[in-house]
Amino acid sequence: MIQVSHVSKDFIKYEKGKGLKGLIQGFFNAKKTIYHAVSDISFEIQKGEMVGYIGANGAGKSTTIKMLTGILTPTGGEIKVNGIVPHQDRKANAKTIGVVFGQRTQLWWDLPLVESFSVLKEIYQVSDDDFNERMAFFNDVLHLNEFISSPVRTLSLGQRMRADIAASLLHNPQVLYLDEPTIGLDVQAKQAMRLAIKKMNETFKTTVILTTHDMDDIEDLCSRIMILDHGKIIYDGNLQKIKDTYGIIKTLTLTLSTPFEHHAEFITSFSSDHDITIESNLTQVCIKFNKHHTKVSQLTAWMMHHYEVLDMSIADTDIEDIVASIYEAKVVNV
Amino acid sequence: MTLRPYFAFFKAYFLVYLAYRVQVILWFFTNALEIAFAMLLWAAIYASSSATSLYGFTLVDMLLYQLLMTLTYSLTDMNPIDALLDDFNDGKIAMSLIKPVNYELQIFFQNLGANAFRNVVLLLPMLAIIIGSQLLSKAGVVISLMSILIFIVSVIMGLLINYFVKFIFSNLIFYTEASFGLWQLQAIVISLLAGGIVPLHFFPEVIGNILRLLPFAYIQYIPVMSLMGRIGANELSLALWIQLGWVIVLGLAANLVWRHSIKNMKVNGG
Repeated sequence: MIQVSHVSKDFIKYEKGKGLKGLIQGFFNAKKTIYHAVSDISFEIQKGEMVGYIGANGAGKSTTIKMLTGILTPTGGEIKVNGIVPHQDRKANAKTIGVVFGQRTQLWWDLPLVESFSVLKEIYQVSDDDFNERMAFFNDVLHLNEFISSPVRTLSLGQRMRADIAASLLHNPQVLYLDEPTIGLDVQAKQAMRLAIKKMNETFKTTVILTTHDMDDIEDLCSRIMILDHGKIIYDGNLQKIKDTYGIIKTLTLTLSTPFEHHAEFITSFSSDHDITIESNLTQVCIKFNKHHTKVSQLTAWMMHHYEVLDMSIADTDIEDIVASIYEAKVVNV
Repeated sequence: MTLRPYFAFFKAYFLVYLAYRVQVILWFFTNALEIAFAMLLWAAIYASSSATSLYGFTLVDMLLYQLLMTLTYSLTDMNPIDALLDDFNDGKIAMSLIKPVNYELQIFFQNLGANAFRNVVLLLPMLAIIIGSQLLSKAGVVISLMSILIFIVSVIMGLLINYFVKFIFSNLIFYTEASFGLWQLQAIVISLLAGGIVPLHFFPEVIGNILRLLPFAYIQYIPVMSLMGRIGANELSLALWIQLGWVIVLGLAANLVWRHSIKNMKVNGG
């Protein structure tokens, strides 16, 4: 469905000096620097897959999406989406894709929402029957009718995003690019968005590429993730696998009735687990341990033996921490 | 290729301006004030001169010239610069490029939609003023059906020239990233060279002749002059051919420039 091989994108940046002097200097003799937004990335995505494309700000996620949609021309390498080279045949490619840029809207700001849909209907030449059927479907999932006749500028962010995602799906695209679709939304709106994306994927087998900073989006939607850092893909694979490799550390938090004092004894008792750490602040204790080496029951038994435990909770490492540690390590061995 | 989606853009922008009708009404009054000031100025100039006609223009001719120039300005006004700058500067262009439409045609039809709305609003009062001034003027500039037809054809070509010139300017802005300065420059250059400030007759002959070959004169000046019967039959057909030539040359140039821009585009933001 999507083939990307050895794609790079460089931008030329002109450095401008500081102050008036620098500005004048820059005017006559601007210093050129080449910035590698994306360097030598390759991947393949199958029909119906939902892929999370994650990375820190400036890692090159949006640049990749813009190349896949044909807006930007790659400096090197080859891209094929559904057999089409996007930057060479932008319009043909555009017919088969839907795009949501969370920071922007494809709706007409000053017009009632319904007008935007009728413009899109003409652009994609959607037949009346298809149009009515899909609008009914969107209304079912995204509840558009609540605000369909309001001007877009009066919509709340959550409403606008719902409308935007419907707009991107009106022509039943084969590939859907979502660039931070849940940015700035509240929890409820996020859940509605995710539900909609899931339903579309199930109903129409739409291939979805999703960039986000929200790890809940990824965990909820994607089985495969690609992690991008400084323009390079540092991980491409199964979400569960990375969770198994990096998510082996669990956290046990306890509240005791008296301050914790048996630090040395604790370490000797659990010395077989090299990953174990314990931090305490009076009656609050936080233990991080490797689930393959230490059992929760051992820890709780030990604690209960020495103290009266008032409260406790166990947490898995969330994917956000995992990604953070991958960013730091830069090397992934899975 | 079907034009259906582009009519959708036309309609959408017609409706956008309908949503901002107060702005259009204010625009109308600004124009009316401008005309009034220009008329007062010309009246003062003619009063202080001993001659009743300057460069073959009587005061009445001059007032009619100002009115017709304003009307033609409104008819041929296309403003791709604002849309393009907006799109380039904050990367909004991405939202247009993800659609299976020709961007140049999209902007053209959006502009046409705005133009149509404004002229529907303005045309009637403008025509009333012009016909009124015709009746008042004793010298009487005779406007025939034929000259109106030629005027319409010439205005359509003027609109295209105006659009292409500004489209090319917008792309220069995109290369140089010097938006405000170039915007100011094009506004003044086009207005002066197109005869918006004084008729091209008023320039020294050599300069006037050069200006009459440049595309700017063919936006409003030539249509107005043809309507006022200031161009002889032979000269008129030559002028229309030159106008058509400019439409084609500039249209091709705009297309070439756009192809270059889109290849070298940096999409800002997001």
